[in-house]
Amino acid sequence: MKKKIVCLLMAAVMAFGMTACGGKGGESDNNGGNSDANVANDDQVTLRLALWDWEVDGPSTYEPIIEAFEDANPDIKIEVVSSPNADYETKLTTMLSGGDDIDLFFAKSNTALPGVQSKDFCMNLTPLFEENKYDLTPYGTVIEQQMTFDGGVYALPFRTNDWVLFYNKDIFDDAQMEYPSNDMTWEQVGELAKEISSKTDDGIYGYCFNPKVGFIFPALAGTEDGFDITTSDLSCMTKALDWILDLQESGAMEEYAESVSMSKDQTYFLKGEWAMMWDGSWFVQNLSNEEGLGFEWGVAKSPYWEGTEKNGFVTSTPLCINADTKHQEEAYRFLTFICGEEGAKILATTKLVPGYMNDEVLESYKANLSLDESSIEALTDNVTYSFGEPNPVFSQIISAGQKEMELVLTGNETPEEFVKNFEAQRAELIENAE
Amino acid sequence: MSKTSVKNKKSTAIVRRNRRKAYLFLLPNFLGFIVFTLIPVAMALFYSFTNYDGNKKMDFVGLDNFIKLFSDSSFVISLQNTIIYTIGTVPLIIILSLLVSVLMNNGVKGAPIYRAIMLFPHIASIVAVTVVWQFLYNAKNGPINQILRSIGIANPPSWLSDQKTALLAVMIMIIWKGIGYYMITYLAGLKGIPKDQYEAATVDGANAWEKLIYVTVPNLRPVTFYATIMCIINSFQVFTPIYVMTKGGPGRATSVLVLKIYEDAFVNYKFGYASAEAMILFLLILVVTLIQFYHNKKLEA
Repeated sequence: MKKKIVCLLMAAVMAFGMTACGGKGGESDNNGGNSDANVANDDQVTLRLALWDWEVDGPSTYEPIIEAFEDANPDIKIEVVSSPNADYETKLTTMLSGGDDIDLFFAKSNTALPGVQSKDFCMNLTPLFEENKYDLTPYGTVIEQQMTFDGGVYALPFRTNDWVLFYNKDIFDDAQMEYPSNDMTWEQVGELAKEISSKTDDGIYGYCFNPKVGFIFPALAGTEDGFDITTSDLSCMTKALDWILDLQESGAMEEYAESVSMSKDQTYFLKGEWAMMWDGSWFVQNLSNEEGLGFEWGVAKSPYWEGTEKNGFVTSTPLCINADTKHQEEAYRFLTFICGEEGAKILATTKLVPGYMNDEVLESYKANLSLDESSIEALTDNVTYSFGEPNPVFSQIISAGQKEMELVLTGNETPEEFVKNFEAQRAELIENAE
Repeated sequence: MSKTSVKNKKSTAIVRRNRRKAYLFLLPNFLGFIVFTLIPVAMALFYSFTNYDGNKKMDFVGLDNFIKLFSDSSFVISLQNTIIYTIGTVPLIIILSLLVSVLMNNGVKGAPIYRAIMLFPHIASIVAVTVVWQFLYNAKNGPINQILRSIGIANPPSWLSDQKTALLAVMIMIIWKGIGYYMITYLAGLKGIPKDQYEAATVDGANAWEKLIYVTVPNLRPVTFYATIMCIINSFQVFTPIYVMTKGGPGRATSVLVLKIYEDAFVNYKFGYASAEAMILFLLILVVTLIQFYHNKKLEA
């Protein structure tokens, strides 16, 4: 009797499984039919593109470029694989090492590129560029500084982000002060910030960083010309740390610990409580698209430390081809489209700075900014610095430095102790990597 | 004689057939265990002797990873923090949940309400709870420091942003969150203690404290054993509250082993090295658990 019941149950389960499978099979057949009907071309190739900012920038930034590309290349279809910002790097590595058939992927920024490149995830593009006689000069120095490893180019910059000083014009007007100029040292910015704080109501800060370690740390790297995070003497960084501590103490900058416990970020500038903020040029787009902002704003060139050249920090957003792609030719076409002149022309209209730059693109970018003369000047023709020569422990050293810097910002450590401890950790990281 | 042997043969056949069926029923579960637990654990052991980077590079490096670990200051700090965290939280959680459950069991007025209140932190999502505590700990405007200031402490600790108090702050939250679950375990244990033992103790003139120490606690030993093991394992594996609250900061003040493993594997792509760290964590948990088993056996004997 029992056996019979078991048999019946088993049969029922199997039957259920079969019908379920059958249903699925039918469905997928239908899908296949549909997609075939949509495109007449049987040889259409689908390229899978991994990125992290689709939620924010998808419709405004990527969609127009992808549409233009698909129109020009009817044999290629782009499929976007989007992951949330915070998890992107983890998900990307998992997908790539798991053999997912991603064809192209964005690295989070140029500082993340050495990590993925050293894993052999990126295709060496130099042979392709040589074969197609592709001109790399419109990208400027960024290719050599950030995308070249052992003589090979492994990515093209989709965007470049010059770091500039954003300021709230209304706060300056209320305090009856002049706007920041395009030639200021950090020391001058500090004085300006203190003056504003003394002249305005409580709750308004003269200067703030986007209070995340990754957005403060670059200022420390500008304290010496030709700084290289792997090899330079780090004692120059105390200058920047002393400056931050002084501003925090004077009340011109919100204390770091306070901002972090409130999970503040660059959007607090939009609330009109910060008179000045140092951030990447992408923030121009955020500010322009914000409705009901309630104040006027402007941009000034990045401040520089007294005694250094007038350099500003720069980051870029590299696009790579997966070394294992099965569609090398198509991926190359997309890469040189989105990061090339056609893509740049479209991107420039969205108030982001394309990696590819020529006169026409520049004019288009300027024309779309709807900003004052001085702000446009601030956003163009910048001389830049970065963290130095990329290498496999590059991002680990930066991350260790950021953690150590946090201890200074929260009053757990003096800038001098920071230098000592960071140098020790750097030596340890380099030694353990060998 | 012959009749019984026939019967025996028949019964062994039935046993064999039943056993086969039992194995068949175990199979799905066992397959899952092999595919999702056993093989990954074996792979991790294997990776710990390589420099696997998550993609192509994988050379055998012998014990290199394990040697490097102890000159890696971040690992040593994380190990220390994990041990401090475990020593600091486990005894308090166990003792407090025992006391709370005894109070509940002795018919405090409104016990069901208190029970619900105590259990609530356990039910609430750890991420949500952590975000709320982050706000409570805010050095300037957080409720905790406002209370401390109002009772006359001029310079209350800055909790999460001070490297001396950050780990303590996380531990306090975890103790608060942990009590509820172990309280329920103890309440179940308390129901199983025979009433007559208390009656006998009363006749012998024992007071409430003596009853707790000489009747309740010994009777609850199996529960305590279970609770302690679970609590220690959970403590060694702590990740979520730290990741949400401090990301290991300020500096490395709250970095713990699982956070370090996560960072090395998924941020720095050093899968081989991270596997070696995971092996150390595994050994640590294994040794502590074995000691407890041994100790418990000795007490039972």
